[in-house]
Amino acid sequence: MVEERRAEVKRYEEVVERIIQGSYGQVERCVVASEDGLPIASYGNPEEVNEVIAAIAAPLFAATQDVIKNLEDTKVLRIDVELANSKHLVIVPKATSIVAVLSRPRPNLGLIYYLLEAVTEPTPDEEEGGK
Amino acid sequence: MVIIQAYLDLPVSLELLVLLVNSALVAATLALLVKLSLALSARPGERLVEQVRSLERSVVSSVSVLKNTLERLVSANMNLLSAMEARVKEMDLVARRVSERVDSGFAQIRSALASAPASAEVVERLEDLDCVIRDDGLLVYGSYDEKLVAYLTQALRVLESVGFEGLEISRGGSVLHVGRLGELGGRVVYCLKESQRPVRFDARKILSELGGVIGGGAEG
Repeated sequence: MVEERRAEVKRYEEVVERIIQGSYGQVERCVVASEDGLPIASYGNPEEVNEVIAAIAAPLFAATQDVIKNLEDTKVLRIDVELANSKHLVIVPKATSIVAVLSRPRPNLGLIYYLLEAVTEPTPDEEEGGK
Repeated sequence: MVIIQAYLDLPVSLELLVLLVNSALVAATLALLVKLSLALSARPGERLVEQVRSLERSVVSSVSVLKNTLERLVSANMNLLSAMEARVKEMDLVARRVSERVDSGFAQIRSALASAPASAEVVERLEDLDCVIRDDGLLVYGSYDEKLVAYLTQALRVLESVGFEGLEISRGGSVLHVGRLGELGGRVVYCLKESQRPVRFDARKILSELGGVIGGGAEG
């Protein structure tokens, strides 16, 4: 059980690393959070802010998902919150967790969406686990 | 003869003595000369001849060495000249090839320049474009390779700071033409079109049509 947990954390750390490396500075913070709002892997200092983002993003996505499920009977693929300082908080699901990204001001959203889409595609292991 | 006889008739003995003395002196002188000659030819003469012969040999040897040196020099110069000639011929060949290639390149450039204005495609309608993107990487119109658009936007953001107006990207046998249309709703917009021919975008018309479709004031 502990080994599985470690492997999961390592996998999410790699996800965060891929997003940061591919973003060319467009991403200031990246957090992978569990359903209950706890950070599993993150990038950006101070760490406390990442914990706050995880605590906000996970319930926000879950609540939106529930509402949309009732309204449209479909899934939410992405939530993009535009802030007054031109930054964006983008949240996407990744298996049973969520990936939240806080961008720099006036970001290349196309690149952020592309990166999130690429890393959140289920891996073969995840697909097998889901069956 | 008459005079001699007459002379002899007077002081005959005295004259005969003088004649004898003269003859003896002449003989002695001759003998001395012969002796001297023999003496000279016996010792110093030999050395002299030897010296002369040695000198001759030395001169002949020197002349031979000089001749050999001159021959070698000539031979070396001939080799050098041959090598230089070969090198010059080689360089001439290379120069000719380079010249041919340059001529060919110039011909292609001239041909391209001559045909470019005639074959340049003027795009002035939205439907003739592959897509229109904003400077935040989002598609405004049409569709295109998502990954390319994401990274192209990143590149365009950099180019924007150096007065970018247009760009051509060769990719997989086709050419993607990127044009800067101007600003729409506070965002810079770009258009993309794949074409083998040179493309010129009529930014004013495209932006005007785009403003009509999605709203927002064109500030091209």
